[in-house]
Amino acid sequence: MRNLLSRFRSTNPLYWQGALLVLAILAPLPLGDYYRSVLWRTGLYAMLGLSLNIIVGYAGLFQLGHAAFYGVGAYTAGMLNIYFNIPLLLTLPLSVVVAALLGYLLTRPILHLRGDYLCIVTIAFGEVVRLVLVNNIFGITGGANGLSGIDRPVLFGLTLREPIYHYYIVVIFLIVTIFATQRLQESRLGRAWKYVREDEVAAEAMGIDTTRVKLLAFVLGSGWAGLAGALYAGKITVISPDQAKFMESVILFCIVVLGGTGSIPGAFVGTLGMVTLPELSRPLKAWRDGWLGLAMVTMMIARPEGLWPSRHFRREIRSEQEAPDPSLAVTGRSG
Amino acid sequence: MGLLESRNLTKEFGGLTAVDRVTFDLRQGEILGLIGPNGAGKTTIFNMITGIYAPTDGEVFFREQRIAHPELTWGQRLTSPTWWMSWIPAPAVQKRWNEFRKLRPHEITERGIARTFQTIRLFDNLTVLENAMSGPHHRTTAGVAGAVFRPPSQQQEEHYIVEEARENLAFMGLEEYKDELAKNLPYGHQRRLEIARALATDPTLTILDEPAAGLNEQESIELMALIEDIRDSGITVLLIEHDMKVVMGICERIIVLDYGKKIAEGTPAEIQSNPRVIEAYLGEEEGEEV
Repeated sequence: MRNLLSRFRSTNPLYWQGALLVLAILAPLPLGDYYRSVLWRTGLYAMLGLSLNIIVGYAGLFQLGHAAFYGVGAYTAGMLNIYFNIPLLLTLPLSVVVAALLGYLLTRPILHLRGDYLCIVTIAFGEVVRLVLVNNIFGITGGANGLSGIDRPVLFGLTLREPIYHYYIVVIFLIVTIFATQRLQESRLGRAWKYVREDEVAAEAMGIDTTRVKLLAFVLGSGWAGLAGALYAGKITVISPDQAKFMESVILFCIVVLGGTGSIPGAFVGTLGMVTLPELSRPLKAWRDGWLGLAMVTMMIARPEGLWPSRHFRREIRSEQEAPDPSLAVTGRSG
Repeated sequence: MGLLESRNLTKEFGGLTAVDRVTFDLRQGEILGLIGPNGAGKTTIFNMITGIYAPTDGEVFFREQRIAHPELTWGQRLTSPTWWMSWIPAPAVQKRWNEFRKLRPHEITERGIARTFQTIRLFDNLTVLENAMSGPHHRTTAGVAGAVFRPPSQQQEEHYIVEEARENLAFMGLEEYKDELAKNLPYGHQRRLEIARALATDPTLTILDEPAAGLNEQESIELMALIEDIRDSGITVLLIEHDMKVVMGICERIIVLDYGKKIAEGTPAEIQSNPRVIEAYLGEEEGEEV
C-alpha cells in the first residue's frame, strides 16, 4: 500500500492534478440538480475548511467561531446587493475585506491567549456575531429571518441560476485556494506559522513577531471564509443568522481536524465526511447527528492525526516507527 | 562603554528577590561566564536581557541603547508625551518610543542578541534545516503576496535563508542531519542545534543558557572548542554554566551570583581562590545551619 502510494506520489504531479481537475469538471454532468448542489456544497465547505486550515492547521490556533466570518461574508454580499444594488460578483472582494477586517478587530485583543482560552473566546465571538445578526442591528440584517431576494450573479450577461454554474465558480475559487494555501505553507510565512505552532517562546526568541504572524493567519482565514459566504449568498439568495451558528463552526473545525490538521487533501476528506455524507444520508433524519459524535470518538481513538494527514504529520509518525539510523534513534531528553 | 551593560538589575517575584541589584559590563569579543548555585538568579537575568521579563528595577543597555527597564505604570504612561505621541510614524518619535516601552523578545533578537534555552526548546517536529531557517526570518521580508506569486526577489530570499541556515549547521557540524526531525537527534546534537539556530539570527551577542548541561565529557570538550570558535568569529558570548571545567576553561571573566546578588567578578583564577565563592559553593557552616 505504501509502495503504491509512494509510486503514485513520484509520478509527475501534473498528471494526477490534471486528472482530478478533469474529474471535477466532468463530475456534475451526469448528475441531477440536487446532486449538483451537493457537489457545490462540498466544494464550498472544502474552501471554508481550507481557510480554517490556515488558522488551525498552519498556525496551530484554535478557532471555534469561524462560521461567524462565513456569515459576515454572506451578509456583506447580501446587504451590498440589496441596499446598493451592487452586482453580486463585485461584492466578492468587499466581502473578503469586511470579513478580514472583522477578523482583525476581533482577534487583535485576544492574541495573547493560548490554547483552550483562545478557543473559549473564539466561541464567544462567534456567538456575538450571530446574536448581532439575529437582533437586527441598525435594522439592516433582517433579524432572525435574515435577508432574501439577493440577486443571482451575472457573468457576461448570463444570469447564473443553475447549480452547475455555481459549482464551477466554486471549483475556480477552490483551485485558487489550493494553489495559494499550498504556496503559503511552503513560504517564509508558512514556516513562521509552524514555528509558532511548535513553540511560541522559542519562535519569539528567534526573532519572529508572533503577534503579527498569528494575526495574519486569522485575517487571511477570516477573509477567505468571507468569500465563501458571499458565494453562498449568490447561490442560495436567502441568508440567515443560522449560517453563523456554533454548530457550523464545529463542523468546520471537524473538517480540519478529522481530515488531518494542516493537510489540504485532508480538508476534502473532512468535507466528504462532515458535509457530503450527512447530506446524502438525509433519509436517516435525526440519526445523522449521531454520526458527528461517533466519527469524532472513533477518530480520536483510532487515528488521531486525521484521515489524510499532512506530510508533516506523516513524517512525524513514520519517524517514530522506523528510525532511519540507529545512531539517531535516541530521543531521550533530560533536564 | 561595554557591549552590554546591566545597571542595578533587580527582579522580584512577589516577596522573593530573584535578582538583586546586579551590575556588570560585557565587553565586545569576550566570553563572560555567569555562575552560581541553583536558584541564584542566572536565568532570570537572561530572561530580563532577552525581554521575557521586565525588571522590577534597573536597566540593561545594549550597544548604548536601553533594551530593558521596569514596566511603566499607567500613571507614567498617561503623563508621558512619548506615550501619547507613539502612533506618529516619524523616526525621531519612534526612537524615543522604543526606549520608552518594553521591547518584545523578537525585537531584542532583531537588535542582535540571540539566546538558547536551559531546557532545550527546539521546533521538535520540524527538520534540522527548518529549525535553522528560523534564524534569518527577521532579516527577510516576503509576505503573503511574495509567498503566493513567488517573484524573483522572494526566490532569492528563500535561497538566502537556506544558505544561511546550512552555513550555521555546517559550523556546528550538523549539516549531515539537516533532513532529520529535530526531536530525533541525539541529545548532544540537539544542544548544538539550539546554538546553530541562535547563530543563524546573525547576532552580535549570544547568550547560552547551560549549553553543557547533560553532555558527556567528550561532548563538553567539543562544545568548548565550538564556543571559542563562535567568539573567534566575532560574536560575544555570555554563558551560564554549571560545569566548572567548561566555565574555567573558556571564560575570560566570570561573574558569580548567590541568592540574586553578585558576590564576585574576575578571571577564573581569581574566582577559584575567592573565599566568598568557595563559601557559596561549598556552603561553609556558620552555626545557624544544622
